Amino acid sequence: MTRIRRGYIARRRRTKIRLFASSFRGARSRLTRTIIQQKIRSLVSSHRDRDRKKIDFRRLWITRINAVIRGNRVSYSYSRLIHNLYKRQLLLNRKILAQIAILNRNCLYMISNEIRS
Amino acid sequence: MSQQIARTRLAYARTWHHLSFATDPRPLGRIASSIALHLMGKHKPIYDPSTDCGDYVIATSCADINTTGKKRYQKLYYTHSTRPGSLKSMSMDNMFKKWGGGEVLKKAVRGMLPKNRLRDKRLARLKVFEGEDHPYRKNVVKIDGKTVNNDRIGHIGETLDAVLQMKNELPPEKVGVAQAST
Repeated sequence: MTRIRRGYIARRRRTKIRLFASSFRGARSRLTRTIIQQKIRSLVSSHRDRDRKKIDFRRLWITRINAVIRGNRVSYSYSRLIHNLYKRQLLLNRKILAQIAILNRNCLYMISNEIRS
Repeated sequence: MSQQIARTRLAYARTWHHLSFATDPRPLGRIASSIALHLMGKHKPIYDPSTDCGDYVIATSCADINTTGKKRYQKLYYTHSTRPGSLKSMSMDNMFKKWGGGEVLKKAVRGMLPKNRLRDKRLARLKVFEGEDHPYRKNVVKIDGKTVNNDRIGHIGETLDAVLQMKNELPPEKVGVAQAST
């Protein structure tokens, strides 16, 4: 049997992975075996965090709405606001309410007073 | 996204709130909870846990802190120096005598802040004084001679609006909490 070298096959495969990890810090963008592991970890993170992103932003919006609503009157809160929203069948979601809270706080107060019945 | 809106220096500027225990009858824990919220910045619509968007709080007349029940004489504060047998306890009354009401307030607020790397930085923004005098009078914003922040930390939502109006960033209509429309 003649000797067969593998040639450039492995190198081509690893170059693609190296390109993926080209912006990583330190050895994670330089050493091949580390690069392979870090690519797997980063893809796992992005897969998991795509769902976490939705959760995290909703939590952030709720915190922000709560902050503004509690500043309005003494015994009002996010929970009461949402209860009133559902009672009056208002379709504003938390993202939009948070945007209104940042940009036009008085508008949010008007909405909450209106649905407070 | 909402992340890029209101990313202005004015929105993230730290405001100074003043609170006097001489005029505020609420007990220690309830006020401490409110202070912690303001130190975290959770009263702001731009709150983000990754940024430290908290404000300063000046607490004066800490010698007059009100506690209910017999807490003043029965609540114990423990210290331990990691040496076996060095557990020491001090009642709240003795804490007042030795360290002052400011320390008692700081201990209370410290337990109410999230236990992360920002905790000490946020606690450092709480300025405590035993009497009524404090060197930060110029930092507390006054508009038309009236202090923007109430003595009862609670309705601070109007602070940012008032400051923005002062800087003519909001239309000059009547800003502030819509409490009149009950």
